[in-house]
Amino acid sequence: MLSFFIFYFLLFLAINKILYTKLPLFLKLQRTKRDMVIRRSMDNLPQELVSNILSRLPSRELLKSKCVCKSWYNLITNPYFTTNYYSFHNKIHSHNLLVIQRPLISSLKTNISLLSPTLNDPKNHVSSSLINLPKEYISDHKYWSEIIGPCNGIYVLQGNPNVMMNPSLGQFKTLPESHLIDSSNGIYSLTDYASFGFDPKTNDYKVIVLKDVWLKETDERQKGYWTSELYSLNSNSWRKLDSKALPLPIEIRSSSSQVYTYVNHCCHWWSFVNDENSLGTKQDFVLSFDMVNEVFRKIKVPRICESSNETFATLVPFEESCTIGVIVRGNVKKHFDVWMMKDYWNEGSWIKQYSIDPIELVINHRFMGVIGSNNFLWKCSDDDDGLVLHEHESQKTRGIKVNDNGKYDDSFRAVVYKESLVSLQRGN
Amino acid sequence: MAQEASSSTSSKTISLKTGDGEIFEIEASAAKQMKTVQRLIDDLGDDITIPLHNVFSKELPKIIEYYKKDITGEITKDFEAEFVKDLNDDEVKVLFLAANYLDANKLFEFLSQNIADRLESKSVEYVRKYFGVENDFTPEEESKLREERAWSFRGIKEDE
Repeated sequence: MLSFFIFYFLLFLAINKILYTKLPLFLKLQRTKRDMVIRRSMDNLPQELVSNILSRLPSRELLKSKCVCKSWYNLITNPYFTTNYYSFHNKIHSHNLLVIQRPLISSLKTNISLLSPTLNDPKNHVSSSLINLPKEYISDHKYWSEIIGPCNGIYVLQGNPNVMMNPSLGQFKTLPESHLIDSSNGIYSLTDYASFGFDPKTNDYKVIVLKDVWLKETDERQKGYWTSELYSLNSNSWRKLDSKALPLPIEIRSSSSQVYTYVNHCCHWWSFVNDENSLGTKQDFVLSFDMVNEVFRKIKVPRICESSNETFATLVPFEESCTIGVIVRGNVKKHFDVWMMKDYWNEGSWIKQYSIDPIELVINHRFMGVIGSNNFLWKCSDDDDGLVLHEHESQKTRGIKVNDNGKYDDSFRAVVYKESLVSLQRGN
Repeated sequence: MAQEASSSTSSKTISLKTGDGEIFEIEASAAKQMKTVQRLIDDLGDDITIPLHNVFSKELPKIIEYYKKDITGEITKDFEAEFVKDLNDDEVKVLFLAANYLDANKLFEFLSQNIADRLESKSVEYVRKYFGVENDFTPEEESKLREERAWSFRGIKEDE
């Protein structure tokens, strides 16, 4: 009986000893199993996972990420990644604005700031940060009065000098002067209209400029006549377009063409032609320039405005629908009608989409642009000093403060800000 | 594969077994949000304990916590900030991999964004360690990369 008991007691001690020495190892093996699974997963992280994380970073961070290893370099420099990044990243971080402003005090130094309105914030707070400009642009004699874009995240600043930039990568390229209008021809130009876009066939960013024509001899303007010049980033040079390329005579209505309207690789301006037969009648057109084929086209517009002089019409792009439209302010009714071409290639497809109810704040102020497919931005220089954003879907209107306590004058310009990996660095 | 009619289907729970042998319970509606789990339920039935070989007892409770909040529709920016506040970079990485394995989309997108936010100001060397990748550039290639990078955030001169 006793030996029976002793046997089981010794067995008990033996088992304990085994567990005591072996159990930690057993537990360690379990931990190691988890570590191994994790190590294996992260090392062989599929491209889509790396891509998902990287696409959320600001483009300047991706410049760093290119240096991590070769497979990451190949991933990021792939054109498909650049295109996907542009739509994926900017969808997550939408509603950011780029604003150019000139300080009130004597000098004309232009500041560019990035505004990030916090959505769903009842106090409409906006965080604002200045974009760092290269030293060569910080001078009393350098200034910008207009900003056009974005086109794949690229912008053009008009002023002295003209600059093409990718602000998200901190790239700035001063455009050379064109010197194409030779005063020895007996003509000069006073006003120009510029726009720009992308040619996917040659992977080139081009700037198109229309210049009016004045005769030196008489100091008179040649009504309805324009010359056109084209700049190419790839060749870093200007060239004059054939005078027959433009469907002349034509007049540009500058007040209606102030929003960058670029869709289907074409730039657009609101224009009209004086009807020679019946005095005073004008036929409205949209003048378009195709960046790929480098040709102009006139798009007929129906009688939208009751009278071109009394109403304010602004040409706008509807990017998501790949078409153009017009925002018309009714003089008497104090609301805005939104017109659109249902089919961009069919002149007869203009229809009125909807009306925006009276927004007292903006009635007399400048329309700045469209964000997304149905959010509208006006400039409002009242006490709040800034912009007014109207979101059609939610029918909400909110103010966005721009002017920092009266430091700047009110001639600011605002455009949508987009992050982009497109580099302006070319072979030349 | 016939599912038993339950008098209160909203309170039906699913048993999940982690790779290190622990068992956790989640609501059937939360399980739906994890497509991998849902596929296993469809194949094996909802009465069996679902085995998850690549998810461990350290992570699963946190994931369950997220989806518990999600089915009540209460996920706010504040909740998400709290959720990751005390996690270090490695812990977030492990959760991210688990969310990917479970095909839990909402959590996956949120953690992907959180990792991106954490990596934003980190050095290239840190990112390499984090993803377990080796620097396979030659010194010549590295200096060429440095030159390319220098073109940004400095602008170019007019006479170039």
